[in-house]
Amino acid sequence: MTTPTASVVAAQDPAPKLPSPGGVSRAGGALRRLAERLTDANPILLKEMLSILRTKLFIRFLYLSTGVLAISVLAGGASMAAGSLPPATVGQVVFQIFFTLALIVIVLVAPAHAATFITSEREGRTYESLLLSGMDAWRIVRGKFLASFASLLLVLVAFAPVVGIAFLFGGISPLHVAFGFLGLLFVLAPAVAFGIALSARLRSTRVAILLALLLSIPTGIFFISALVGLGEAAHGPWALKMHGPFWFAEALGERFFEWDTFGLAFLLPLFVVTASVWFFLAGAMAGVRPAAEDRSTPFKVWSLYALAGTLAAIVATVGVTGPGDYARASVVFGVLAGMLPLFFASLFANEPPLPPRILPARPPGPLRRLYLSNLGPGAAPTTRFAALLIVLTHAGIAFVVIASGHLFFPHADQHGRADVAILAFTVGNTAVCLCLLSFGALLRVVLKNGVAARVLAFGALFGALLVPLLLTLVIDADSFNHAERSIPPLMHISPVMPMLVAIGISDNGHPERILEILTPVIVYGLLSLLFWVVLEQRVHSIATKVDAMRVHRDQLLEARRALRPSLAPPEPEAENEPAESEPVAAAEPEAVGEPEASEPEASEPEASEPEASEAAPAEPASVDMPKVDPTVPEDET
Amino acid sequence: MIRVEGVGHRFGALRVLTDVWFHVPEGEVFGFIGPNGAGKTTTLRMMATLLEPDEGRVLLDGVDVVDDPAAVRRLLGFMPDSFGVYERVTVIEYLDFFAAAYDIERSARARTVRAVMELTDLGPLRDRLVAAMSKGMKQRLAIARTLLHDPKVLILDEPANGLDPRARIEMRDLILQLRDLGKTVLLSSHILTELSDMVSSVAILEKGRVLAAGKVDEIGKGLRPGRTLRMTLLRPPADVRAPFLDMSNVHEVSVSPDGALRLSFEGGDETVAELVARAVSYGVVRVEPERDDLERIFLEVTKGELQ
Repeated sequence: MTTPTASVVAAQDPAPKLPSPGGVSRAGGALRRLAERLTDANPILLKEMLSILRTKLFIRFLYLSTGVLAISVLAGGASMAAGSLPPATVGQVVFQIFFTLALIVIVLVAPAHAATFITSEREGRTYESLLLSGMDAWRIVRGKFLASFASLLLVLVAFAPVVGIAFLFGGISPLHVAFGFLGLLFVLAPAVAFGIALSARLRSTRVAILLALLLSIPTGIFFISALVGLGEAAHGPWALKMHGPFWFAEALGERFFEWDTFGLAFLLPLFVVTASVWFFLAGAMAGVRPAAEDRSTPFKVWSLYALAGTLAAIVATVGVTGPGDYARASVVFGVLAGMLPLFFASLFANEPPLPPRILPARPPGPLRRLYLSNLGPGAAPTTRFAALLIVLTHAGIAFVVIASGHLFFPHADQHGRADVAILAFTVGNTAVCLCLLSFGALLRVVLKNGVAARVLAFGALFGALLVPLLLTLVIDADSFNHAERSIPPLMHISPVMPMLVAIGISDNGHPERILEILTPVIVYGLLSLLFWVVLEQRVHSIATKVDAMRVHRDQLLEARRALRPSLAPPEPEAENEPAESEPVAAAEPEAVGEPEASEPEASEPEASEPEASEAAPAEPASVDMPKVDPTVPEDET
Repeated sequence: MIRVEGVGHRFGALRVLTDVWFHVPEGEVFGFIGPNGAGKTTTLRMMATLLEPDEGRVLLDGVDVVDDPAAVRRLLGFMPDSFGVYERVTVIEYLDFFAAAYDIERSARARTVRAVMELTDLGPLRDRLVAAMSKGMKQRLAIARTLLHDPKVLILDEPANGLDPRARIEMRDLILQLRDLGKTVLLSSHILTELSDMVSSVAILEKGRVLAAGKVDEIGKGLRPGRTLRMTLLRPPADVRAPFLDMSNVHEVSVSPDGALRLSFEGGDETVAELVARAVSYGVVRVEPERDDLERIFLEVTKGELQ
């Protein structure tokens, strides 16, 4: 900008030229772009770190938290040293105090800290600028996650010298400390990702912080208690000396190369951490992306990873059971793993009827086209994907449980009943999960509300669980006394029937009881088929109407444009009819395949604003013009 | 360059836009004017892909904002009326951040940021924290941000809102400079005087409807056929119509607030000469054709009803 005087000068001199868009990397080669991506830091990470390090509050927090932690650890150490404990034990107690306090800080602070990262953009009115810059959701979410993670890593770095107090007493090694910090990082990453996910879905920073604290406190208490409990369980078999939540630091330091320690204390937690971080970040991306974009594909990719990790975890856990209780244990693992497809059924039952309208930046290749049309975003393809995933998950569970049982315990005498039991469970549970999936997806399309659909679907599931149970109790309460031989008839339609059959077979043998699984398989299988067919038909009908309306709108606009070729204003309309100015498709609704303008699905594909379509029942044009404000997180997967 | 075709929009039960049509030609500074609450910002947010229309469509350079928002975002720079800036970074860090966000190659980034700072005269402030900048400087910074990816179209919503007179003049000069660089600029404002020096075409919006759209002169002619002359007399007569009473092609004679006579008439230069001849005995000081200024057009087009 120039002053008036300067503008006179500028009139004589050529105006400064902006560099041509050739500077934008889209014009460059793929290799060069890749190299630049790898060496160029995420701009959000850089910007956030600059902002954080210039915030006095953060620096004060660093000083204060480190000071309080140091005083607490010193006080704890001093009181222990004053007793009769040997110095090495005091060192181990100090070690546990330090890491437990650091863990509490992480659990409390990390989600709340991360929860401000995207809401602050919305509240500060900078979010739109970010979106308009063309940054994709993954780049934004990744930058925010890394920035929050890095700033909290600084807190851990500030804490680090305090652990030196433990070395004064002995009893610990640098390896213990290293694994202790690794444990903190394992907690920090999902805690931050959780905060980012909250931040992406909420508008208010205060609400985000409050919710993060409300959820992280009970989760933290449960997590620390579970850690202590697991430590006590591992204490004997792994000959550990340390007590407290950070027992795994000693286990990993002393027995890292023992396969059970490596698998259960390192690989399994690593899988849990990466899967939860991935899941939360996929959720954050769905929160950042407008409803008109693909929100389900990140969850689909995640689900494949979760499936692979779960199957690997089953192999590891079957391996640590003994051959004596192998049959029962395999069913327990199968049932626990069976929660995963149930979760998948709920997760993917929240797709809008139609796939996103937004065109991809580049035309998709043949494989991607195949994916998009058959298993991609949109209610019908996503349901197909989830159904395949559920079948695959159950098949995988059955295979790995049976195969690992034969691998680890080749001479066990329980293979027959264990194998039949797990088959009975997986087949029956597949039908139940498919039914839940197709029912939930259909409800989502009909109700246009994902939360309501999930609540109703799970309500129906619990109803199917409770009603047979209560009726059986009313009719003949004693029938449960001999359930190990014969399951009461009404319970055959319960969704827990597969589990009951599997437990019965694994405990008592009688592989022929697998036939009892037929009733739930037929009932839930037929129901799921019915729901699925209705869903596909409904989606097809909506798509047809929307396509017809789009074509009609374009034709109408072209015709009107021809009549109004210049900048001339439109013809003035009747003064007393301000809201009925021949909206695009309302002019001739019969001509576009007779769209039923007042039908609820007329406001699809974006169903998150039903009020708008209800307010304009006479304007079917709103069918193909879903309203999306990218600054508003909407109902999503 | 920008085509708004039959656009309508509702917020719940409230209809805010009804069948809005207008067209912004390439390389022009286009004024989008209307009273507060007329629907200007809603329309601009649709053009900027931040809101989807319920009816009709918006095309930028032929690209539908709903179908391909990413392509539209590459084409346009949008400065909203109320925007935020990152306070704890410096000017150069801010612009560098957005240059990276726009995916400008690292090698070209410094050059781009430098050019944009030069254009917007932010060079001397490059190391100043954004928090320490005045509102006018932040407005400049916001415009600089929109220029980083060298967009074809600039959409500026109330760019001079809250600026002092000097900053407004500077803003006007900058916008004219951008027009000279070939940008299509769409400006929204309800301060007509600030637009009148810049825009050649306008769309006037009231209560969610376009009341008039097109070249300023053409709209003016449409409103009042014929010509209007302003004539300043040294000794105006008591009845200002008296000298022209017998001229049938003079429709109206009135007195402006500044004392000048406003003569509306049909006819060519001969009529002008006759009008001057009849007034010469009263001491003609100045004769000039009246321009179709935006304020007059706006007042005549709009009804002034509460929005």
